[in-house]
Amino acid sequence: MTKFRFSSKMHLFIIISAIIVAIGLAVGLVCRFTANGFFNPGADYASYRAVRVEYTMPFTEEQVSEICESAFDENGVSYYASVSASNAGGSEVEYRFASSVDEAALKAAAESINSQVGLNSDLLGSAYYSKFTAEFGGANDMMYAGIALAAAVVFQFLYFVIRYKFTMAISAFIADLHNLALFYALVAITRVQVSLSVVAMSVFVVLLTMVCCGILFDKMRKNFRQDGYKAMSSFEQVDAASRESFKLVTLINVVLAVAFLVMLIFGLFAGSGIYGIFMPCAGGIIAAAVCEYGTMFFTPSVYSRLKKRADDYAAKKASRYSGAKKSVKPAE
Amino acid sequence: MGKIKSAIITAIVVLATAALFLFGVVSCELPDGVNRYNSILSNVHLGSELTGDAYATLLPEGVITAEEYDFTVADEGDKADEYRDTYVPSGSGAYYVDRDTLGSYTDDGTADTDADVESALAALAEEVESDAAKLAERFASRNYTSYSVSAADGCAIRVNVPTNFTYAAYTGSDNSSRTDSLSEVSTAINYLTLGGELTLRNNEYGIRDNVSAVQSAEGSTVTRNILKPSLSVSDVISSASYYAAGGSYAVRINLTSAGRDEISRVTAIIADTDQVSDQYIRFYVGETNVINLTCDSQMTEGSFYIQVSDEETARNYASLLNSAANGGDLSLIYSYDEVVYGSAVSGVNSAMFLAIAVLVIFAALAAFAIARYRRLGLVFSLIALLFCSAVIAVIYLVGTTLTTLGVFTALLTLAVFAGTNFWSYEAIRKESEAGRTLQASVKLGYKKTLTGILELHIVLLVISVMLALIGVGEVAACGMVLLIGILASYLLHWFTCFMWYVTMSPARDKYKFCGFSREAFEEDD
Repeated sequence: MTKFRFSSKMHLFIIISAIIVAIGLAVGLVCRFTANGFFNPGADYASYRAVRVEYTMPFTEEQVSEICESAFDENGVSYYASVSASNAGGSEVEYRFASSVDEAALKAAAESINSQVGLNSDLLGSAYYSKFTAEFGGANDMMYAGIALAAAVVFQFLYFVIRYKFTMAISAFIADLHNLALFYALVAITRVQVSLSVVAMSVFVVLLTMVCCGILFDKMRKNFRQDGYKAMSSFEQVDAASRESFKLVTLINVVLAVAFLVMLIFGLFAGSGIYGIFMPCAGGIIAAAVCEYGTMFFTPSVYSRLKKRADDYAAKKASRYSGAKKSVKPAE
Repeated sequence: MGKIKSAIITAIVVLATAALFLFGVVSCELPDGVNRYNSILSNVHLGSELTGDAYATLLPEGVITAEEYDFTVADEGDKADEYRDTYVPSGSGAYYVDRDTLGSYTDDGTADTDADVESALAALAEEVESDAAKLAERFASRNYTSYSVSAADGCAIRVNVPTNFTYAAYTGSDNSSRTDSLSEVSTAINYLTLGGELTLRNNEYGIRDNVSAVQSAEGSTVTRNILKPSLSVSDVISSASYYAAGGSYAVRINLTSAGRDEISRVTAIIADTDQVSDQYIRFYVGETNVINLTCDSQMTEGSFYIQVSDEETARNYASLLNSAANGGDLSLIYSYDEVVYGSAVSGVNSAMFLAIAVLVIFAALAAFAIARYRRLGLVFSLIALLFCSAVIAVIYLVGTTLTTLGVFTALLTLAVFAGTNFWSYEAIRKESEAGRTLQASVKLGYKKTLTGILELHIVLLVISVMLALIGVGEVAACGMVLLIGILASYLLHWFTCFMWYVTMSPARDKYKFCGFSREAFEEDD
């Protein structure tokens, strides 16, 4: 990465980010594909269709599972989650389908299952199709999560203003907004379910952005004091500092992404396909990728422009002073 | 530090860490073959994605399940024909609705034609969905890490809440905890799904109303509505909230200004034993007595507290009363057969696999530390083990529910702990490479990174407090885990420094101990 010169390419990064966000919005709001609704809400908020099968002896869970799988295959439907439970009458298993799955096919599958485990086969089981319309109960949690997130972003901004410079704080603030927008766009594009866990993952995006921006700006602050940097233009200064912090920031994001990947793989071994643990893990990997791009590519390009303007302004201001001591200021 | 002193301190710390870790993580059968030791980790309450959730299907009056209908009809008993004539199937056929019930949604009071049935089912669905929305608000204010409320076919309501089982309870290793969790869930569903208006009642003082009439018809104790007919409960109570202080739990009732006057008037009468012998204000939702307020004297304050036995009860009552007092009373009365406890949606063994994944990540971190910092890496790994054990123990003691995201947050704090230590080590490495003695390098390295590490921890601490206080449900739980982890990280950062000093003292080649070199010094030689 010795030729790392991204700070002059802000327009390119804005276009890339805008395209990703636009595609994310289109997928989330317009296309929806075959998911549960706008932005593919998770189990906490999603409406779904279900086939609930109750069974008693002599059936075992495996046998019932085989019967159901074959009925679903015959009718060309596939479920996204199954939950087994014991109830007063015996055992039950509920297969959950996206709300876009064909109702007639599900009814036919339920009837087929019923004929094998239910009253028709002289057994005390049953299988019925139901349609569940979710109430957006998570709105309260979402609202407070949003307030907490906003508070974290504002706190981070204030911290950066105090710790670094105002332009750096502005850049970190823009990085937060950019990374959050990109995170949700990628979540929509990859069809990761927006459950409360994924919403809470936004906090992770903000924290990671803060840490990465902190490393970046810390390096800049230290380097800008060095004589070698003083002769450089704003863009060169930012590029050079970004190059130096690239390794550490990338290491953090890669380590976190690998950690999420490990958990995702073990989540798959847990045996429920791609739901539950998978979705937050996938969200985590996306968050790490977004923070890497947002911090190492987008933020330096934004900050370099803000820095240039601030430097120009400082130079103008300094030119008003006639004293030699003060005129040195802008160069610093 | 002398060799003996160093060996003793190291041995104590290693033994204490190993013991804490074993007690924290390893569950085992006890030698008596009857009892079992469940580790601290297996006694931490887990989120629904790891230990499943509980659900109840709420049926309004006049609605039955297709199972009940089919069994009755297949039985060909006395009721079979009655069921065939009386009930009509819902859209999907999973529920059957009584024609009389549907009749109440038609203009002429009957639902004989298909068109009548269709429009009545639509009207019923509208009412059920409206109730589902109110229930969703009640469960939202209950502060669960996850929950869902959905209308089933427009005829019933499905409520899902986390069981919050511990891993030991989930796997059946701790039946006592399992029973407690099941009881808590059942009680919560029972209270939060109560239908009907909120009324404030007394056995002797007040006016008779519809509830009194039902009680009279049933032959139970008749209670009276204590509020003036011109006032509704929402005119009196502005909100109800959960309150906890010093291990005591209560429901705080906030009154409006009109409510303050009214409660002052009513309590003056009820507190007077000459006038009334029943000195309670009884809070009823529908026909169910939820909670009682003892009136020993006239109450003139704008709010009052009703103490209850535990946190769960306080949260249930607060959520229910707040909803009912603010127009969230359900328009239909619902009943349910049973609360069903389902397996974890992310897989039956997802909690175990997640724990293994975390263990693998920890092992990778320890391997990296040892490879890079030799015996210092070993010391770091030991303290990292202590960090994990301490975080688990505190999460258990605080009673925070650990969700998948909570595990991620705990890992994030482990990363902060590792990152800050490695940061200091690297700073020390630089100093030693510049030719300083190790003692001087350690001093300077820690001094140089002190501000940054302190700042990072303070910033994360503030953010964790924000999340814990502002967020609700899973976000608040994550904030709590972050708070615990960050505090542990900072304290153990200095303990790692101390242990480094203790373990390194007897080492002859101190640079080799840490995997450092002193290039400038060697060059000088």
